[in-house]
Amino acid sequence: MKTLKTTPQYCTGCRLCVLGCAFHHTQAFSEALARMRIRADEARWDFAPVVCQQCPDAPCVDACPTGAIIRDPATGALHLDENVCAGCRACEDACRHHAIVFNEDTGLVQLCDLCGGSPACVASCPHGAIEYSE
Amino acid sequence: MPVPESHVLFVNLSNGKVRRETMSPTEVRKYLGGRGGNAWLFWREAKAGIDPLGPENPLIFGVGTLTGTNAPCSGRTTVTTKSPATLLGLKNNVGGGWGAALRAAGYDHLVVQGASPTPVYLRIQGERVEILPAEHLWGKDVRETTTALTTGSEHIEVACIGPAGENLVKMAAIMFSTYNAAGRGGVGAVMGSKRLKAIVVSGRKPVRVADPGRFQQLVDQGRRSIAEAPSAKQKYLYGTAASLAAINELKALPAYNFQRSYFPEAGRLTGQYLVERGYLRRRVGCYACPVACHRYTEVDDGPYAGTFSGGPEYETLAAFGAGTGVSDTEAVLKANELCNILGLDTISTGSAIQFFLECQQRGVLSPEQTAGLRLEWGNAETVVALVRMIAMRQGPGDLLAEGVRRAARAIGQGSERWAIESKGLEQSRVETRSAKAYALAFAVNPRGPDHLHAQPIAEFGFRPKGVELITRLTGDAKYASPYIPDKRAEIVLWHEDFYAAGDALGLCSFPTTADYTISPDLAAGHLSALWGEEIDADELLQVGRRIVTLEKCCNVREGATRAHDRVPWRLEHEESPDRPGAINATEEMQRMLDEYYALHGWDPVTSWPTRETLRSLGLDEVADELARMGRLP
Repeated sequence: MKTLKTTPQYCTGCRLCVLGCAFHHTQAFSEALARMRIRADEARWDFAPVVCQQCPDAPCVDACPTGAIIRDPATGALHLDENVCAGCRACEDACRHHAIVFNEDTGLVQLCDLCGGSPACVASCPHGAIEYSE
Repeated sequence: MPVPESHVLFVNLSNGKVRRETMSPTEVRKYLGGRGGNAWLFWREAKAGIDPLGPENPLIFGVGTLTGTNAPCSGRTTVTTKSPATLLGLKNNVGGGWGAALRAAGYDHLVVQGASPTPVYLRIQGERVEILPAEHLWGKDVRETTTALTTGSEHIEVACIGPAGENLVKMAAIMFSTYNAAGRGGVGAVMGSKRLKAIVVSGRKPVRVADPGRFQQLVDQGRRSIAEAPSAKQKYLYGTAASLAAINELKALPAYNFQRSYFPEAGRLTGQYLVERGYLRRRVGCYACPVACHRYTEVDDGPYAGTFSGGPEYETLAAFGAGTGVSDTEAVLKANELCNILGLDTISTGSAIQFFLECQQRGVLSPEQTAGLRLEWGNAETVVALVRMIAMRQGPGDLLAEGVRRAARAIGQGSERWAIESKGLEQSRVETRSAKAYALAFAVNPRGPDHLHAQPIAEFGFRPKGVELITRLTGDAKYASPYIPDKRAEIVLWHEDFYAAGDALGLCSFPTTADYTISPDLAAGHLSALWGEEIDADELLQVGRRIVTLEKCCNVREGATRAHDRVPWRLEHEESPDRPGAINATEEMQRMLDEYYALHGWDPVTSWPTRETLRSLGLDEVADELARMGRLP
């Protein structure tokens, strides 16, 4: 299946991916509303996009006590059922990539859904630091 | 969704009081945010004659109106205050992600007033605003401070001063997101005088757009325009020093304190060289910037091993390289790192060192003044040592920390002739003697002679878009030449208007007035889609004119007259042997100024805006105040 692959050395830390993600999902701009993040070392000006890797073993699925994270049988992609998520953050702790974002305002986690196959983060990145490929 | 109000946070460090105010939708439409709202707040909050380093000087931060969105290059912030270097109004525009974070915290402007008796830092987390002790941070450099305040947290942005700001150095910067400098005019000293070490901001408030579909469409249009521009690509690949070699070949690279305009070893100072030699480790973009002209460099070996920093920019390479005659790239990288972590403006610091070297060249220094330093052109060790001495006010650094105007007054012996300053600010590394619109723009810049007031690159005729613009402004493509003094006023005014409007929107000046990839139409479109209210390019440029005029009035209030609008003495009176005949001759400058004031509707004798002009811009109350002061022509 196609997944998001990152090349951190191309990342300039501009946050256009994060903004594109939030805007696609909420029609508003906010790093807190995005389903991804940028990891930053402020002293070394070192940046890397952190995105869901669609892990085959998906520890987030196993960790979720309510079964809110589901793998789409057709596409193989993970997605979150917000009606079922209890906001316990167990998935966030389980994620090896720190790609799950907790939203303090809604009390729920935010999980990448690959934008239904056309990821906004990929389209937003000017330098090819995130790709969507097999 | 109509034009929104702006939220202004006032923090008084003298009494610890915090209050909130709003700017009305009418005021917001009149001035926008960033530099525009700041100019209005500064006019209102500052009084004529205040001590720039006293508690009465407001330190004002303004977030661009488009900042926080994904509009290309829209993440910039303006800092406005009274300059301790020029004793006039001062605006600095800075990149990084701090402005977006202040907006996410719910504020469009922050006004810091008063002064704390002890070191403090300000922490703004949405509604929660705290003044916290900073004894543990005082004395720490910018990198240490930023790291200490961000460790373990996400979406936190820091603006802080280094030791230079603490020591009230008149070329101290405020550093944002570690390596982005609000550098000029001693803005860091103003923050230091308030004993304010840092401002830490975070928040979760989203930016909402009235017409998301139209907004994204315009964003895509801007992104395409930038992606197609070779000049933007060059900035990504090689940074702002991409054209340093070409500038040198044109005999327009200031060297040896503007005694020369060509540096034989400039090849070791270019953006290309940084890439080839592996000093460049990363290309960095400001918030929402697809260009990524910023650099991150490291030095692995040699005497400067272990150096790492954001930068260097063209200005830094030119100031510490060609300017001081140093061709050792690694030493320049060290000077760059020191400026960034000690919190110094690289332009003025480099300029002060060049001034001092020329003082020695001309034999006007006493042994006491030279403090045993080997003051010779090209001596890298001396240059690096002087950077530290300026930040720490040690030895001759204490005098140079006052800026070249005051240093020249102290040293005397005609040294004002090689003090490359005007209004008390050191000139940026632009050879204005062979670029007439630049010379005019530098002379009229309210904060002093640099390229960050109007950036009329179009006059060079390098790019089709620039030639097109010149033709539209002057009626003839022949005016796309930097050697012709005619029609420079027309060119400068357009660039001023759009530059100011761009600063108010939070747009970087590279896409607006240097690369011409974002037009006034496109910028106004973004604003219209954001607000759901039609703002056209004419209205946007009119806002720019209002901002420029209001900033001018802030200087008029301080007593500025036509005599302030000049280029440094050397550029008006001495040619460079590399470029015979090129000079900013007095008569030529005065003629350009006449035309500039006439186009603005300013009085030619005093340079003061007339009541009629102020009324046409809706600045009646400003006119009333100036009339009360007897400063209306």
